[in-house]
Formats: sequence, structure tokens, C-alpha cells
Amino acid sequence: MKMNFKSLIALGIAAVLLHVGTIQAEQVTLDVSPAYKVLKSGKKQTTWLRVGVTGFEMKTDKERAPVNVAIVLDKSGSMSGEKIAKARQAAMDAIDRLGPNDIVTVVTYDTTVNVLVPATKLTDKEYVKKAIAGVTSNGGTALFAGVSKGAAEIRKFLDKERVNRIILLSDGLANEGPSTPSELGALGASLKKEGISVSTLGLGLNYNEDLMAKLAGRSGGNHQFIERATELADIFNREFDEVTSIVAQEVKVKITVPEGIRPVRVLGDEAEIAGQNIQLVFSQLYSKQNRHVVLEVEVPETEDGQKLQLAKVSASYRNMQTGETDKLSGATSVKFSSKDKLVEASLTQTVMEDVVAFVANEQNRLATDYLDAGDILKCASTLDLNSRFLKENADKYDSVKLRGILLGNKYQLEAVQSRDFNRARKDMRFFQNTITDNAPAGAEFSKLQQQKLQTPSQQPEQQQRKQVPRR
Amino acid sequence: MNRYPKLLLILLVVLPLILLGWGGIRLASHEQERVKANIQRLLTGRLNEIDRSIADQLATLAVDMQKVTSIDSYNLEELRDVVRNDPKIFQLFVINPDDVLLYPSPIGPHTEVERDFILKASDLVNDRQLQLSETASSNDGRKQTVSAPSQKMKTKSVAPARQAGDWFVWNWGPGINLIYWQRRENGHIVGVAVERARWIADIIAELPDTPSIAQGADSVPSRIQIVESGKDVIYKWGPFDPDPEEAPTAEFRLSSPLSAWQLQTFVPLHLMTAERSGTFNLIAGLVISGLALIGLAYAIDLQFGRELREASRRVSFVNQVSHELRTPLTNIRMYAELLDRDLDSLEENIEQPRKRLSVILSESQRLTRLIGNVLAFARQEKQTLRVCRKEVIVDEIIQTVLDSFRPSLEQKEIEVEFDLNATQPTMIDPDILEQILGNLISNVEKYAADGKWVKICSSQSEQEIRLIVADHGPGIDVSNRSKVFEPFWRASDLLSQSAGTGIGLTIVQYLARLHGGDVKVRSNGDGTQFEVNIQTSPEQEDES
Repeated sequence: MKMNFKSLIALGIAAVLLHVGTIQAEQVTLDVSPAYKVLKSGKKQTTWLRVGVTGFEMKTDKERAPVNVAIVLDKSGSMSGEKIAKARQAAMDAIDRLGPNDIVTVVTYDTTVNVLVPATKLTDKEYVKKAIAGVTSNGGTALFAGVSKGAAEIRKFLDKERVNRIILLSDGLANEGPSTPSELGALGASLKKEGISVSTLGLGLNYNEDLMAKLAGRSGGNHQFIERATELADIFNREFDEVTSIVAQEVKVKITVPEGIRPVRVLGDEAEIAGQNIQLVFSQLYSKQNRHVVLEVEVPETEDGQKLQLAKVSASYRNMQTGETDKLSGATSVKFSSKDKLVEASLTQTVMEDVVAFVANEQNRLATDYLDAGDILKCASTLDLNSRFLKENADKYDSVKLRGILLGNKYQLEAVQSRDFNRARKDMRFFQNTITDNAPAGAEFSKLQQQKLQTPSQQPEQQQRKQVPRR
Repeated sequence: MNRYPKLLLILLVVLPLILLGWGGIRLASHEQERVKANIQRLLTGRLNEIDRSIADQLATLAVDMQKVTSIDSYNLEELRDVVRNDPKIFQLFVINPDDVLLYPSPIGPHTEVERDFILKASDLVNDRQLQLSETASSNDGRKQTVSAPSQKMKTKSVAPARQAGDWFVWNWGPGINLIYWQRRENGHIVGVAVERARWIADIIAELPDTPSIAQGADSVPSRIQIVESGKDVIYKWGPFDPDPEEAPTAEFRLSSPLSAWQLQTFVPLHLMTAERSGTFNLIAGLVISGLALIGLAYAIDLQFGRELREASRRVSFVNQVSHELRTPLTNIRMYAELLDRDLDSLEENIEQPRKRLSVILSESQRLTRLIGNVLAFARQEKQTLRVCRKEVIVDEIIQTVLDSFRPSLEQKEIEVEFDLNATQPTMIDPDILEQILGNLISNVEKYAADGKWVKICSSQSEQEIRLIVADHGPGIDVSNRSKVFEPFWRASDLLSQSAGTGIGLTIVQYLARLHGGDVKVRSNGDGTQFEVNIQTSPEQEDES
């Protein structure tokens, strides 16, 4: 299914897309496509362009990039029982998947932090697993310190050749040391600059989703909402699937917009807009992963028949299979026409779908803000409006993907209406992050949402989560 | 024994106990203070080391930041690149000599982070806070070196850095933030706001972690924490989990620029309070010395009581002796006077003066015996008595002694019965025998005169002489039977009841034993019987 979607993109893009690394080594592909290739002449208007990168397929005959991973486990009192047992098991299984070239750190924290296994080459798996097996839960939640220690251990072997990642598992609110989402977010952003990303796995219904989402988001890692401990093994597995299939790191994308065109906002990821320059970094790209952002620009009045360059894009990344830094570049331009038909016909549907999805995502964030402010009605109405917006566009473009998001939106709306705010909120944050991170393929996404709507909580969790498309 | 000495004894026990307890408590609390002070000094020392390590870390950061801020050309893109790539930096800024913020420019297009910074830092720039701190700190520095020698080291170490740049502490958001800034030679201020979350994370990364109990059970558990503004915990470590209400055992304010941070350490309470065992020791000591004192007091009481009893007996003895001495003397004097008068009419009757003379004689003998007893007693006390053996016939001595008693026995109408069988000459000390016999008969005369009867038996064998003196007197209670031989003991202390010194039987027993024998008393309602054996064999006597 996913492949279909991917190939669809490939086909759909007859775009102005460049740099095909033709020779031996596989390359990440960069694509830059405008929502409309032809714009209406004679008026000032807003349009969008999508900038995306797609990882090449990792060759199984080649050695994967070694990983440098820190597993940071919350062992506070709330983790006791099944949760800690599953977490131990998941971590031990993860260790089994790694090889002797990989570096592993295990940090546990409650009120205080314990560097259980300092950063070490994984030559003695049994030792590490034994240490993990001895973890018992007790005490408070010193999340910040746990991540700090984990990062320090990663840093001992910090290497561009490696996939550097912290995997944080928590089920609670940070309550020891710095604990605000902005502080954790800032730490995440700082780690991202070093090439360390933090994936946060929120377990149960009591963790602080803002904090976890922000830490993951700003560091370029994933954020997962795991409602039941039984799903843990799966999520861990997926996380390690990803970590062990990274093909590119530090994908730095620089978009330059010519004078006269004003960049308005970037949807889909954190980006820095400075004048005509937009910069963003995707920390990691795994095998065949597509990551993209949508740039909203304001285009000045232009005469019929004119051609205007919309953006020049350059990107650099570290190829994890060759160990070299590769460069990519691309550009896109639009024509202007007075004929509406021509304009309509020039629409690239997939780009527009992304635009709608990202806009809907922004609305979803807004709904979360209303929920936080205690304005349930506003939250519900925003979600409702968002649903209508999504439905309208889904019908217009006949988009499976948008229908999937629509279902998610509806599910959240239902949760809000049935006063299940906690679940709604966690789902929203998880969602916002998922869409931001890597747009899920439509069909599977919608399947997931459908399941959620039909049986919101009775559904066997494992099956439910398996549906979340990762690649 | 009256109450007063008892009170004294109680005081003897209680006072030292109180003193000991008080002293013990004082000593314990003093010790506790000392231990506490010691522990605190130790802990503060440890905190001081931690502070130094954090200060070193910040110094390293300062060196890095100094490099970052050592720029004299201010190209927008270059500056942005620095911010983009340095994980430690939140935002870089440049203020020109006219105190205008050059970068990030408040007017130009800026990134989100720049906007964030401009909003947060507007006061900092508008109020010229950095510029003001520049003059203040240079003044401060001078003052410090002059007035506080203890700060000298610190100032010195900071001083070279100060010339190039300095930290500035800035409050916004969740707490203190650090800015490193320097004034370039071109008059521009180049500063960098370091990312709070990052430098805190880096400090935490350098601080120790908390190994699990199995990994580090050897040392004393303690907890150290860094607290911002006295309340927000930044980081804590150590396996000890103190009560949330508990005050820290030691505190230490971090050195500049992190003076808003405090290091606090907690150790288990029992470490601080000289422990339960200290209290236990104190109590145990008190109990033991209390017991010892009570024992001592009891011993003193016993000894004191004995002495007291002895003393009172001595007093009664002296009374008795003087009484006893007076009577025969009075008699001797009276009869002597009578004899004197009789002799005036000598022709009329010669019998009368004779009788009187015999009385004088017997009374003088009594006096002699008495004095002999006193002397014997005194010698016995001094252990100077010796046995002087002569060849004598025991029955003869008995007769002689009895002869001297005859007048008084006749006077009291006491019938004397004999059963004398010691007619062979033997080697004994006649004086001792006389004294023993005299005392026993004298006792009969004094205490058993009511029986009107005395029997004296004697027998003789190879080794010993046995004498029995029996009477029909009132007898002696069973409970008193063993006491009759104690010196000064008398069945009744009343002077009027009967005369006597109370040492007679003591001397009898002593002399009999001195002579290698002993004395036994038997008594029933029918009277009392004293049986004396004395050894005749000189070898045996020598042995004893």
C-alpha cells in the first residue's frame, strides 16, 4: 500500500526536480514542487510549494550505519508492575537486535539518575541485559537529568558516522529538576544541533505529552503515545527498525526565495525563516522515508505569460552508507496565465493534499490550545470546523489520505465530546507529531482511524498500533 | 539508727548520679555538637569541591564563549550560522558603541529565535544593564581585593577573564540565564545568551549519578541537591532519601555567576545525633554507677551500723565498768571504815572485824577479777595475751575460785554442788582457768541467782580438761544463744536489771580458744549450762 503511495508521488511529480545521482552510489532525492504550476496572472496571491527529501533504499548487502543509542528508562513508582516488566523486556529485545559495532547506554531515573550501563560497545550483550533485568521501579521522575546523562553518554562516542539517538520511555510527569515543555524542548533543540535526536515514548495516560512531544519534535526524534504496556515491545521494535535503517543524517535544506516573493510560513516542521532564506534540518532519514515541508509564499502581481522562479533549494546530507557528505539542489518556477482552466489543470494533487493536511494540523494544535485553556466548546467547534474543512478537501481531491486524517479528527472530537480529554489530548499530540514527522500513507492511515472510530478502546492495542505506517 | 544518716546515704547515691548524669548529658551534647560541626565541615568541604568543579566547567564554557564572541565584523549570515550550529548557544547579540542593538536587529526580518530573544532581552538592552554591570563589576573587583582577602583567589582567577569578558546573570522564564559578553576594541559589545537547558544539562552530566544500591552500598548514604532560588531543585543525587520537610545538613552557595544556586546536602539524622548507642551508653553508665553507688552506700550503711552498735556497746561497757568498779570500792571503803571503828573496841569482839575483813578481801578479789577481765579484753584486742603453763591440779583451782565466791553465793543463798574429777596435775595456765571459771560463776551469781543452784563438774583426760558450770536460771533464748559471746552483748542493757560488763563470756571464749579449746552453751527452760574444754597438750596449744 505504502509503495503505491510512494510510486504515486513519483509518477505525479513531473516536477522540476533535479539532481539525479546517476552514478554508482544511491542518493537521497530532493523534490521541489509547486501546488500550482500555473498561477492566475494579474493579482497578488498566496501559493504553496512542497520541499521534500526521500531516502534511498538501504541495501541489505551493505553494512548499516552503526548506532549510538541511549535507552533512558523511567523507573519511577508509577512504572511498577507490568509497565516496568514490559519496558525491561522491550529494552532487552532491542539489545538483541544490535551488533558489536553499536554503542549502547542504559540510563534509569526516578528521583535520581543512575547511569546503569555507561556508553560501551555492545560486545557483551548478556552483561547489558542482566543490568536491565535488575531494574525495579521506585520514586520520582527526574526526566531532565535522565536525558542529560543519556546525552552525555552518547557524546562520549558522538560520531557523524553513527546514528546517535536517545530513546526515552516515560509514563509520568517530570517532577524533579527542570520540567517545563519549553526547557525540555530547548534541550532537544540543542541536542539536534549536535546530531543527537531524542525519541520519546509516552506510556499510559499520565505522561506529559507536551513535554514529550516537544522534546522529540525539537530534537528531530519521534514521539509515540503508547496507551498500553503490551504495545511497548512493538513500538520499541519499530524505533529500532528505524534506527538501524538510517540512510542519511543531518539533512540540511536551504530554500532561497527570490526578492519580491515573501515567505509566509513553513508547515510541517521546525524551520528558520530569515528574510528570503529558509533553513531546516531533518536529523535523520531512514530507508525510503519521505520527509517534507510545505512553504507558503506570497507572490506579487505578475502579467500573463510571465515565468517566475519560486524557489531555489539546496540540500546537504551525510550519506550513512558511503560516509560522505552529499549535496543536492533543485529549483521550481511557475507560469502565469489569465485562464482559470489552465490554472486548475496545473494543480499537483499530492502537494495540495499535504497543504491541507498541514493546515488541518495547525488547526488541530489550536484545538489543543483551547482544550488546555479549558474552553471545551471552542475546542470541539475547532475540531468540528477542521473536520468539515478536511471533508471538503478530501472530496474535492478525492484523497484517501485526507479522509484518514479526517477520521482521526473525528475520533478526537468524539473523545472531547465524551469528556475523555486526556485520551483526546494525547491522541492529538501524537497525531500532530506523526503528521509533522512523516506524512502517513493515506490508505493505511485511514484504516487505522476507522478502527479507532469503530472500537475506540476495546481494540487489541497491538494490532491497532501495528497499523501506524512508518515507511 | 536514725533517719539522718539514711538521708546522707541517699544523698551520697543521688548527688553523684545527678552530677554524673548532668555531666554525661553535657558531654554527650557537647560531643554531638562537635560531631555535627565536624560532619558539617566535611560536608561543606565536599560541596565546596562540587562548586569548584562546576566553576571549572563554567570557566571552560567561558573560554568557548569568549572565542565565539571575539568577532569584529558583523555579517548577518555568519552570525546566524554561529547560532545555528553551536548547540550551547541560545542567541548571539551585538550592541554597538551607541548602545543600539545591532544584531539581532529589531527592525530587520528575523528568525523566530531572534524574535524570542529581542522580546526577552529588550529590558537588558534598553536599560543598558550590561554596560552598567561593566562599571559596577570593575568597582566591585577592586573592593573585593582590598577588603576580603579570602576572596582574593577567586578574584584573581576571574580577573584575567574579566578583562576579556564576563558573565552576566539574567532572569527570565524558568530561572536564571547566563550571558557571556565582552566589549571589543571597536567599542561593540558582543554577547551570547547560552542555552539554559543546555548548560544545566551539561552541569548535570558532569555531576555524579546515583548508583543502584547493589553498586555502592559501602559508603554512608547521603543526598546532595542543587537548588535554584532556594526552592526549585535542579538536580539531586545520592541514595539517601530525606524527608521533604527536613532541613539540609549543610548548605553552600555556589560561586558567581551561579550565586542564585545553592548546594544542599542531607545525611541521615542518626549520623548527626551521636546516635542512639550514645544515649544508651550514657544511660547504661548511669545505671551501673548508680548500682555501684547503692552497693557502696549499703556497705557503708552496714559498716556504719556495726560500728554504731559497737560504739553504743562500748559506751554501755564503760558505764558498766565504772559502775562495777564503784561498787566494790564503796564496799571496801565502807568495810574498812567499819573495821576501823571495830578496832576501837577490839576487846569486845574479835569475830566482827574478821568478817568484815573477809568481805573486803572478797570485794578486792572481785575488783581484781574485773580489772583482770578488762585487761584481758584489752590484751585480746591487742592480741598480746600469752599462755603461761604451770603444773597444777585443776580441782584445787576450782576450790580456790569458789572459796573467793563463797560469801556472795551464801549471801544470795545459792547452793553449790560439785562433781570434781580432775585431781591429776596437768600443765595449764592457772590464771586463764581461774579467769574462765570466775567469769562463769560470776555470771551465775549475776544472772541466774534466782535458780539458787549451781553445779560445777570437772573431768580430765590425756589431752583436755572439761569443765561444766550449770545453773537453774532463766536460760537464754535460742536467737540470742550465738550472740552471748559477742563483746558487749547483754540480754538487757538496763543497768538496774543486773550488773555486768558484757565482756565476760567473750573473754571466756577467747581464753578457751587461746588455750586450744572452746566453750559451748546449752540452754533450756530449766537453766543454762556452759561447757569449757581446754587442751592440756602443749604441742596442740602451740599449733593454735
